[in-house]
Formats: sequence, structure tokens, C-alpha cells
Amino acid sequence: MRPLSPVETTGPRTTAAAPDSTPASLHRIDRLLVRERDRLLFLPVDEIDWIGTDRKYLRIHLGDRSVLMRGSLTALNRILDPGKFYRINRSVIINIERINELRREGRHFTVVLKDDTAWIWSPRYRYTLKRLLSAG
Amino acid sequence: MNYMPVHIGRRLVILEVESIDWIEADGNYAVIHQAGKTYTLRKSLRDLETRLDRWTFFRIGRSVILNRMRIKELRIGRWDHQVVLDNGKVFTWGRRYRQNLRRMLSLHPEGRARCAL
Repeated sequence: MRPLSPVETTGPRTTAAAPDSTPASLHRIDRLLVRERDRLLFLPVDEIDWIGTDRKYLRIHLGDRSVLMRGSLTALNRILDPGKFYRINRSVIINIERINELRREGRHFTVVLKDDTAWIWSPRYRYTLKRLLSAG
Repeated sequence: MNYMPVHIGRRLVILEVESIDWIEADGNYAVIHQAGKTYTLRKSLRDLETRLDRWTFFRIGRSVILNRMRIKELRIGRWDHQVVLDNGKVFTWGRRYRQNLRRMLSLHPEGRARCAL
């Protein structure tokens, strides 16, 4: 990129960092937009531990706080990074970086997260487990 | 990572573009705030705006360009909205720049929230 000089204003303009045709969909989703009454919160997805359901809503757990959000896990699952967030059963999406251990219990696995919450990795969502295990 | 060379006085400083927090106009000068440091240069915001990535940096008012990655929350008002940065600083997203706000919210696929604006 050309230096931004106070004097020099002529010369060919390079199209370095500002091509304005970036389609929105190409941006990896890095922050989740959550509406909370009259506030819109931008939650960095890296800080999300897991997402659970709370009646008609979703509850996003980040560290020691949680945020209620309207929406569906299916829709969220579609936009979150599939390499990082895994749907493990009908009501939970987890961030795999927060997994402490994976325990085999009969037919299913139990996931223990770093905050000591335990969830069943449902046999119905075995295909996501396979995706995780084949990934690394 | 993108770098932007900037003439400041007699120095040529090479700024990491992504780590710019916000840019403020101060009379005929633009003040770039980056990680606690400030750089003053004689440039218009309009000029800077066209050089920065328009999907990262958003003009939110006549005198402020913001890096959207620094935004922690948005307080919705009737016309103007308050933007809170992760360092706690608050700006007003002026009503004249609400097209930019829509554009920024369009980056969020889950954005039912954008209907409210």
C-alpha cells in the first residue's frame, strides 16, 4: 500500500486493502450478534463455551456469564465454524476447545467440559463425533 | 495482516491495520488510536475510509471511524445508537450513518436484530 503522506496526493492509487466487493458471506463469523432488550451484544465466538436451550430460547455460556438469545440451534450451527463448534445432542452445541474429557458410557459418550458441566454426546449425533475424531 | 505506512512528522510509521482501534478527526487532522498509542496525521477521514477495509472499518459519525472488531455492544436508541468498545469507550453511531450500521449488521447472519434498526 502507498504511504499516506501529507503532501503527496498524486500518482496511481493502488487497490490494496480496500476492494469494496467483499461479500458478507465470505467473512468467517467471528462474533455472534445477540440482542438483549435494547442492546446488541457482539460476543466473540472464541469466548463461547457452550450453547444450550432454555425453553424457547438459547442460552449462550461464556465463562461465568450467560446470555439469552432468540433463535434455533440449527440456525446457529449453520453459521458457526464447523471445525470448532459441534452439535452433540438435540439441545447443546459445544466449543470443542472447552472439552475436558470424553467418557465412554455404554452406547454413548459423555462430554465433560472445563467448567465441569457434563453432556451426553447423543448416539443420534454420532456423525458429528465421527467428524471430530477424524479431524484430529 | 495488512500494514499501512503512515507519514507522521518526519517518521514513516508502519501500522498494523487490524490493530487500529478507532480513528478520530481533530480539526484538519486525523488521530489514529492503536493499542493505547495515538498517531496524528494530516488526512481526512474520508480519505482514510477509502483506504481501509470497508468490512472492518466503519464510519460511524462525522468524526469517527471504528474497527468493528473492537465493538462490544450497541445500545439502541430512538435515532442515535451508542457503541461501546471493549475498552469501555462510548461513541455515538449517528443517524446519518445508519446505512453503515446496516451494512455492519449484515455481516451477522443471525441478525434478526437488524430488523429493529
